[in-house]
Amino acid sequence: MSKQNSNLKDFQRIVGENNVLYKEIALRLYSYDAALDRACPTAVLFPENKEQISALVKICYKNKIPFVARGAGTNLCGGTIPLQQAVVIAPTRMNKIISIDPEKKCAVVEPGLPNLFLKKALEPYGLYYAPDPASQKACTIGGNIGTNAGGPHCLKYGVTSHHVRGLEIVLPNGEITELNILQKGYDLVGLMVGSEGTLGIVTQATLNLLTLPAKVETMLVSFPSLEAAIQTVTDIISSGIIPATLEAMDKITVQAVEAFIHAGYPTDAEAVLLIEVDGEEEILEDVKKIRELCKKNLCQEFRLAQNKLEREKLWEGRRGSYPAMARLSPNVLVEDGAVPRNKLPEAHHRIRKIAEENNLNVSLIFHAGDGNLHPQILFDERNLEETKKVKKAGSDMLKVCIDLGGTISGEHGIGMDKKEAMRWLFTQETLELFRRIKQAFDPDNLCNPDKLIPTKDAKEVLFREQKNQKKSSENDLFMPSKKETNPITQTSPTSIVPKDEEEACSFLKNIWLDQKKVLIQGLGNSLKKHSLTPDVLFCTKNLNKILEHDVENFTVTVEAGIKVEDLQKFLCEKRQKILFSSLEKSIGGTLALNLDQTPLLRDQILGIKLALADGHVVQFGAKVMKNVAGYDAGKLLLGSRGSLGVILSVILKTFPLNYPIQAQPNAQKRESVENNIPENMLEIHKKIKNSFDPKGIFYELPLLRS
Amino acid sequence: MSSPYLDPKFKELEKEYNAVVQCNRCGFCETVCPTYMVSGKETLSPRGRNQAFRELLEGKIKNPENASEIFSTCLTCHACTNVCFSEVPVAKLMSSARACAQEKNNFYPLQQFLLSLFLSQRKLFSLICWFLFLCKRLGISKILKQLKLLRFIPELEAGEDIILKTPLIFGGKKNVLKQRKQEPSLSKKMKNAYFSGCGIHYLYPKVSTACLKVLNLSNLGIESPNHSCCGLIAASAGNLKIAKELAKKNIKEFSRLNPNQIIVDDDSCCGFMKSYGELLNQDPQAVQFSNKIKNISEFILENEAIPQIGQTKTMGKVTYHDPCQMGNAHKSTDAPRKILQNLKGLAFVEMDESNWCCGGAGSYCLKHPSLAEDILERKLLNIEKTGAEIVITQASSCLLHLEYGIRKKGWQNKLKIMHLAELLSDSILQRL
Ligand SMILES: Cc1cc2nc3c(=O)[nH]c(=O)nc-3n(C[C@H](O)[C@H](O)[C@H](O)COP(=O)(O)OP(=O)(O)OC[C@H]3O[C@@H](n4cnc5c(N)ncnc54)[C@H](O)[C@@H]3O)c2cc1C
Ligand code: SF4
Ligand code: SF4
Repeated sequence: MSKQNSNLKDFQRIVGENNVLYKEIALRLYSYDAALDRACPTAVLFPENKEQISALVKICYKNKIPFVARGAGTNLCGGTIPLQQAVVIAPTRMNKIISIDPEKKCAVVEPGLPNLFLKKALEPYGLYYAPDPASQKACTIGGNIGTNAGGPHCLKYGVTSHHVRGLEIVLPNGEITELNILQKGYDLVGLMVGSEGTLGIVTQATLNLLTLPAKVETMLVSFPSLEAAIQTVTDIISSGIIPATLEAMDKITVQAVEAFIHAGYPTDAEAVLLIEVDGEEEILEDVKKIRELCKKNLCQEFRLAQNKLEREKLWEGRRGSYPAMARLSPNVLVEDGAVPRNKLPEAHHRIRKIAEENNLNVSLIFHAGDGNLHPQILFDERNLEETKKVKKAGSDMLKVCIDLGGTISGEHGIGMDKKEAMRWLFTQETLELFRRIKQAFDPDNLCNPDKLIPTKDAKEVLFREQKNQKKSSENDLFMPSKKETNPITQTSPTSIVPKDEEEACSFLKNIWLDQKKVLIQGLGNSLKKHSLTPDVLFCTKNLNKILEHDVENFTVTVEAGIKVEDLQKFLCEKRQKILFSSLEKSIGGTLALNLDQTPLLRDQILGIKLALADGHVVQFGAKVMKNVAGYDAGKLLLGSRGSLGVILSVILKTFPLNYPIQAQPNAQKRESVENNIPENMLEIHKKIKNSFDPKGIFYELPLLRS
Repeated sequence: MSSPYLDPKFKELEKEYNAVVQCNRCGFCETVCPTYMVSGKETLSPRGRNQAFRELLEGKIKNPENASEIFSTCLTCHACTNVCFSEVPVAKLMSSARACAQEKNNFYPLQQFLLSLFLSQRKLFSLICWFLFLCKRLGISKILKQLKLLRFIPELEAGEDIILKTPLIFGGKKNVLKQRKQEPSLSKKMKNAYFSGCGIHYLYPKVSTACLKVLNLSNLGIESPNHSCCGLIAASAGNLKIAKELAKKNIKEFSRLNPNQIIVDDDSCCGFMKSYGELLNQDPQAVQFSNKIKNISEFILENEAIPQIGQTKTMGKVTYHDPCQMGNAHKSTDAPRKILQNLKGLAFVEMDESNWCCGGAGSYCLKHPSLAEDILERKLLNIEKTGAEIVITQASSCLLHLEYGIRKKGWQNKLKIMHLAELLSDSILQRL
């Protein structure tokens, strides 16, 4: 019996003969998803519970068989294509809602549950699950977690990662583990969401639920220019109103939609906004304010839906934007980029130009509030020339987004399609770190192999090694000259207080070569009690500059050592604020300790710049509200307590000063026993630590110090 | 010129090919497809069926027979097309797909000949049915099944369980109509025709009688010419040629009468006949014929035909199951509901997923009994949730499969399944 046959027999033993597909014709139907890439698996397996998944993965692990988790296969990035002749593990029949807890406002569900089914099941409870991708009719919660899916309502309520509280996962070695966001240690739930099935298979998820709003008002507003429409978006958000949705369409799109749906959209306007506010009675005031702001920006028509039917009609037009294109040609490339919100008009202009130059039929829709945009390009995949041209145009559009300080995917993911584009966005150091994180979970590269991260190219390795060899004499704190300014004795540690990022990195480079033990300090007020004996105290208190405050875009980029209180004062003068409750601490310290507050810290951070132990800088995230490019590794720094690297700077969301939500510290929920990290996750913590800091320059997490 | 991507072998399927390439694999249709939902398998999904058919037509599949299961497991319920933005007509494509994937062994020509013969000659068909039904009545089929001899004809084996009653006199009592015809008040110009589908004709003669009774009261002059099968059986089996012949034959037979409207007692046939125009490439006569086709509920509602209806003998909670060929394929869902809502003594409740196929799907439940049962199970659960005592529908295949489900669940005492005409004829009797 060949090896492959014996594996098949093993699989069949676990899930039953009926639940293993292996004939050629069946495998062909697992060679695709909603994008264009193709590759056939060796088998498709349909498990019914986590034990079966665990058993299947264990066989894969033992025999080094690559495997890919697949939900509904609606992703638009080639994320489920079984490369390396992987087997597909499809928990499509694990589609039950295990429990709904109206008190705690959470639901526990299986990964194969279609998003829309959850929505329907929650209606009787007056609850809902916020992420509402346009594909919600078909796509599954497992897939949503894989791609960190978003949707129109994510402007106010956040994307999938804001709504996943806990996960049950089968790790690439087949072990089952449980994670939740209250556990001490790194925010691994945050890392898993958006990891595109490359770190393990989700077998169960605990989701956050919201109460259905009492009132909803929907408006359709037309504008003489996209600039005016986007200015209105900025004005609305600046006024303290965060609508549930703020969707925009350009003229060509509206015309295409109207030709098909007849939703009564104004076809002569250059841009339309679909605005929805929800909440209690007070939203009537908001509608008034929004109307004024639209007028101020010279809107043409302002239409307020008078009843449910009219609201439906308005939404029908928005939802029709994809169908209107889909019916016109065999394929639609739905590109997905994000830019800082105020850069949308420029992005639009440049994308339209690319479309014109290439003579392409493109419709453009925007989740305008989030700065997320979707050019939808018509083509026929059978025409290889055309397909190539369209793909190239799509890439060029992404380059525009990067150029404007944005990202290559707001919600659809990287998969195979945008792997190369990752190189445009991330430094080689960051890509290398992603690879090491992947390895920490999956050393044999079996779990959805060759996705998300581009393969290392030879040049890259050389680059890294060269950089490591030279010790710079400048800033060498162990040179005699420095010792004088920073006197140390044998027993007390050297204190280093770098004045900027550059200095911080060059200090670290030297420490790395000397292999000193380093303790990172923020303002120093949380670390008094420890009994550690570091060689170096690395203090970030002088990294306290505000690097950029993008008032219109509602983001602020600050160095990590800045005191929260000082930042709040600065923002207050600009009539903005951040939602941090820890006034006395530094921003970096607050994140490293992952202080428990409402709203959660993890939802406030858009980007982090980190100095690794060897002095190299890695950077995650950007000045955009939605970003699913690469691992959400910034989340790992939440609760990292200085074990992974020095947080240099952070990009934070800001809010209008009159925004109704205030940050509140929470009682210490994290202490309870049920929030302890499972044993196998401690192992993963160690490996993650190792991937950031292989020489152990920084101290381990307290909970791991033996 | 035909598409350069189409395998020349299939050049006469250009239209089908152009339709199937419109599937862009978005996957939106998966969760409404009963076979996908009960299995979770792409091989049992609309998108999968489209991709398999497309690859077959592009000549990428060496042995098309291997794909036959992918196509034959489709219920042709049309649910997918209704949610598909590109409106890929999956159910309609399956006829050609099945034909392409059919294993053409030595028996194939004979099979096709017999199919054509029996479907077009109702008398001959009756002979076969009569013989088979008699065997069942005498318990012969049961014995054969117990002896495991029916294994070789799986359809008969499954039929043994699914079909309970086998009448030996077929068709409704036509004399109901005859009485009425003599009435001088009837205007000569008002002429309407009645078409009885094979399922109702052979398995539910009492439904046919009920239909005639109800129609008889309409005062709209009902006649019923000779006719054959509507062609759906042949189309489902992948033989569009026979289906087209049957369609032409029916059009010809009914055109002699030149009726204003044609009332069809079985929704499966009704839906198929509404598409004769499309089947026969928009031939004007066929289009005209199709436009005249109505099921009982549409007929009543559009003509406000039967003023007496208003009260039923039957009381209680009632729900409606949409037969796919009318509900999904023609979005004809209002008429039966309006009628049920207006009947006194009945409380109408909507069931979840009323358009979810019951799994009957013509002879599907005989060919794929296990899939059909899983699909039926979900339907039964949705019915149970309504708390209804009566389920109304308008197709014989649904009647048969739902009755089977009720027996299996042991719900005979709490749940009744009826054709709309039966309910209405009860109510009429009540009034007379
Ligand atoms: C027309 C159209 C519109 C769309 N609109 C939106 C939109 O508005 N917003 C949006 O965000 N997306 C949208 N998408 C993209 C797509 O629907 C989402 O990416 C969705 O989250 C994918 O879900 P799925 O169940 O199909 O997952 P799949 O495509 O099957 O898988 C997606 C990824 O998740 C991984 N995965 C799946 N299940 C698991 C599991 N159990 N454990 C671990 N990993 C798993 C897979 O390996 C893969 O990498 C759209 C797609 C289409 C075709
Ligand atoms: S049939 Fe339609 S809905 Fe289904 S995958 Fe194809 S295009 Fe999408
Ligand atoms: S016709 Fe029905 S069974 Fe066939 S693919 Fe479509 S939804 Fe599925």
